[in-house]
Order: sequence, then structure tokens, then C-alpha cells
Amino acid sequence: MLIPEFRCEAGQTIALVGPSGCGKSTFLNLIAGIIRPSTGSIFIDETDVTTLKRSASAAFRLSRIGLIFQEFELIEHLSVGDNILLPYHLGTDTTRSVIEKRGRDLASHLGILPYWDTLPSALSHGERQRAAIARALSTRPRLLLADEPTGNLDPENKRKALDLMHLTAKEHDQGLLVVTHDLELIDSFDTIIHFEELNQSGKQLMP
Amino acid sequence: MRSSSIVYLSWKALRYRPLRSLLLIGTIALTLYFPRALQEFINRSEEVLSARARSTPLLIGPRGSSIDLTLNALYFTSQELPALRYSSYEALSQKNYGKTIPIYSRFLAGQSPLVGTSLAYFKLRGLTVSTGRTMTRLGDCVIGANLAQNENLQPGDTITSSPENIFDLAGVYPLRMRITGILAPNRTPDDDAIFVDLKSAWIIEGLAHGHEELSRSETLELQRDSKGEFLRANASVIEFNEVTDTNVGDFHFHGDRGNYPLSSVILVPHNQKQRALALAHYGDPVTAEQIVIPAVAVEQLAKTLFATQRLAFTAFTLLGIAALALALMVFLLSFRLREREMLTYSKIGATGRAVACLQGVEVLVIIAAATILAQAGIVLTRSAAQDIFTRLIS
Repeated sequence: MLIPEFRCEAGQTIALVGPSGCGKSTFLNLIAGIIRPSTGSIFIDETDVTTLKRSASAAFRLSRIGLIFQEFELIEHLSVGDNILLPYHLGTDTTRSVIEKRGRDLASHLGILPYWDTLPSALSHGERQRAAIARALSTRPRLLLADEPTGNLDPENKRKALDLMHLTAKEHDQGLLVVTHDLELIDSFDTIIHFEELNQSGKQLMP
Repeated sequence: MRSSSIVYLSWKALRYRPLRSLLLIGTIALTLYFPRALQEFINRSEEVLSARARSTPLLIGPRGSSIDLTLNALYFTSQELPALRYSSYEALSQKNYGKTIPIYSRFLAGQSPLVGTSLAYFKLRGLTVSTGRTMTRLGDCVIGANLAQNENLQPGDTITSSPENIFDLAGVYPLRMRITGILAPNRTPDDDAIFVDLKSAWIIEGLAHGHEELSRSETLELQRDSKGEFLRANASVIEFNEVTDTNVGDFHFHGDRGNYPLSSVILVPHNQKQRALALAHYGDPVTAEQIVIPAVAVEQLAKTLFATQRLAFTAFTLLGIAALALALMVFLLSFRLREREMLTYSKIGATGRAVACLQGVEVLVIIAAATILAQAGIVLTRSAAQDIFTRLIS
């Protein structure tokens, strides 16, 4: 993968589209500091995340980046509420009461508040996806990275979830970078980028 | 990451898989419990054995296994040795080495040992009657606290000795005995025993009996031998199977009292010199009796117990190591299965150290719970060891 330059301004919403296996998810992991580039720099605000040590990178991710995974990645033995509060448990600076209030508001908006004390295994795919969205938004990150966040949602909830992400991005000056295949929804983004154009290597990461 | 959060998340993970967690706790607890409990049990048993043996200065009985003799006198186990003649007891008493306490422990009433002895036995063992009074008449008995509680017996009730062989008409007859007192508990085999006067034990033995007066003509048969004619009582004579105030005078002994049986005699020497004299006298191999220092006999038994303990301890330790290795494997496999969950923690922002802490606390909680469980079991074993051991050996 070779990305000469990529910028996401505060409050900007970007849709990243491209065929499966072209490296979109890898690109999100690079930005989040989960994997490191072989060369180059990735700045979030003033911080070059590629120079951070592992523990510092984790702490940075916890406080500044919200992640929504394609496979939800909810912790199966924690209730929806505890999953949403997970960033607090993992050590984010925000207090529990603040995170909980935000979490409950988000859950209410996304229609999953009745499942606050329910384990994820009892939820539908769509409900789990919404719980994962609420978890990522509860810390009000500077940058929200979402990998197919609406893939499992019905049209109504898809619209609701995406509207919520756009709203929080604008309200809190967050950058929003969403990988999606859903071409019906990409009109709502400020910028649409074809990942194949961004990646100058010309190589497919996966066949 | 906050400590409270680490504990909270670990606890949630353990609660989510209760069967796995309980199995691990149980396995580790048993692994920790068995070697320690065995050690506690053996130690406590040795203490119990030694304490009772130390309170029994010397024991005189028929020649044979000193351990059998000691266990019969101290724990009323079945009598494996031949009987000691009463004449030996009288001879010992005449030598005046010290206080002599006869023991005749051969019979049972149900599962409880029946011990023929004298009141001096109660004084030696520090036994006191908590309800009722001691035996005063033939056929009276005093019973241990456990027996009274288990069988719901009170003074005034009766208890019947068990016949040894129902087809042996000339053998041990069941005797219904009057309970006159209940002993205060002292957590020894005395709590499960029935104490009677030596003569009552001999009635059970068949050496004494009581029957109706031979006044009815059908109870007597005219018989003839070389010396002439004589009257002999026949089988229609009614024998008493219970001593009462009205028939106590009808009980009488047959044969030479010197040949009456005993199991052993406890000798409490007057002083060190008399002790040495008694040891010297009965130490002579020409005497028909042996003298045993119960503490020494028990020490021999304890050595056997220790050898058994070492074997069992080794076996338990090896099994324990295997069980712990299995538990470790279960932990590792479990964490491997949960690799994705750990990866999620990392992706969201947990440091490697925090993830390790989460796993470590889970292991610690399991080990702590297992240790507490094992320790509770060990405390219970320690408190019950004396009773278990007493029951086992009796």
C-alpha cells in the first residue's frame, strides 16, 4: 500500500469506497495505530502516531480515536451497557458518569436502551452493530473510524446511525472516516474517496 | 487501567463461564486439599493416639501383639488375643505395684462396644456422669454421650447385649441392661461405649446366670450315675435375661473365678520404682502375661501411619502436579479461545500490560477461591479428625 497523502479535517466526513480486499480496513488500522506503516508518518492533531510506543499508542487510541468494527467486536460476557462503558473501564480520562450519560443517550437514540443490561448474544446483528456505534461515540473521539458500520442495519436504522455519526462529527468537530460499500448513503458525506485512487501502489492486498 | 475495572471485567468473564470456573476452582482446591488434609489427619490422629496412650501408664495382658492389646484396651477394638485369666489380675493386685483396673472388652450391644471394668476406670479417664448415676447393681450400665444421643437413650431405659452366635445355646446370652447414667462427652471412644461391672460382663459370657427356683416338679429330672440318684434341672427352667431388684439374688456364678476371662489390666503404678518392678516382672519371658507401655506401642503404630502417609502424600503430590498442569492447560486454551476478545481490548485502547492484568486477575481469583475452599476443608478436617479417627479405629 502506498498512500502519498491523505487528510481529514476536523468536522469533515469522508466515505472511503472500493472493492473488497483493496486495503480499506488495513488503511483504517494504520490510522488507528493498530498496525504501523513501514515508512511515512500519520498525524492526528499534532501527534505522529507512528512514533508512539505501543502503550502510548494504545492510550492515544483510547482517548482520541473511536473505532467501529465490521464484526462489531462486542465483548460477549459484558452487557450492552458494560460494552458501551468499556473505554471507561480500559482507562479513558472521562469520568464514568459522563460516559454513562452519553452512552445511555446514544443507546436511546439508536433504540437499544432497553437492552442496556442484556448480553450481546441475545441481540440481533443490527442491535449489536448499534451497540458498537454507541461504544465508539461515547468517548467523543477526535477521529471516528468506521468499517462498514451500517452493513447489518435495516434502511431506517442505517439512516439513523449514519445521521448520528454525521451529527456528532459536526457538533464536536470530529473527523469521520467511513469505509462503506453502501453507495445509497455516500451522498451524505463531505468527501468520497475511491481507495484505489488513493493507493498508488496499484496492488490489491487481497485477491 | 483502574484496578477496580480489572477486577470487574475479570469477574464478569469468570461469571460468564460458571461451569469452567467452578471446575477449575474445584480441581485446584482438591489438589491443594488432599495432601494437606492427609497431613492434618495423620498429625491429629497421632496426637489423639498419643494422648490416650499417655494417660494409660501400663497395660498387662496375654502375650501376643502389643498393638492389638493396646488398641483393644484403649479403643475397644475386637479382641484378637486369648483372654487373660482373672487369677492373673488377682496376682497383679497382690503385688501392689499400683492401682489395677480390669478391662473386659469382648462383647457388643448393636455396634457399641460393651466394656466390663471397675469404677476406677472412670477416674483414670476423667469420665463423669452427666445424667443419672454410676452402676450400682448387677446388670446396670453407664453409656457414652454419643451413644445416648444417637440412640436417644436416657437413664431408666434398657439396652441389650448382642449374642455372638444365635445357634450357640451354651454361648453368649443377650442380657438386657438397665441404663443408670450417661457420661459427659470427652471425644474419645468412651463416648460410644457401654460400661458395665465386670460381673455383668461375665453374666453375658455365660459364667453366671439367674433362673427361677427349682420348686416346680417339671423342672427337675431324676438322674442316676455311678454315685447314685440325683435331681438335675432340665431345659424348662426359665433363665432370666434381665437383672431386676427381685431376681438379683437368684444370679450366681459357676466354676472357678480364677479362670474367668479379662482382656487386659491397666496398671497405674504407685511410683517410678513400682513401675520399674512391674516392667521387670512382666518383662521376663517366662511369665504368661506381657506388659506393654501403650505410648511405645502407639509410637510403633504411628510409624506405620507415617510410612503410609508418606506414600499417600507422594501419590497426592504427583496427582496434584498433574491436576495443576491440566488446570494450566485449561487456562491457556481458554485464553487462546478468547484471543479475539483480548485483541478487541487492545484495538479499543488497552495496553498489553492491562490485557495481561485482566488474564492474571482471572487466574488469581480462581486460585484464591480454590485456596480458600481448600483451607476451609482443611479446617473442617482438622476439627473432625479426632472423631473420624476414633470411629475408624473403633
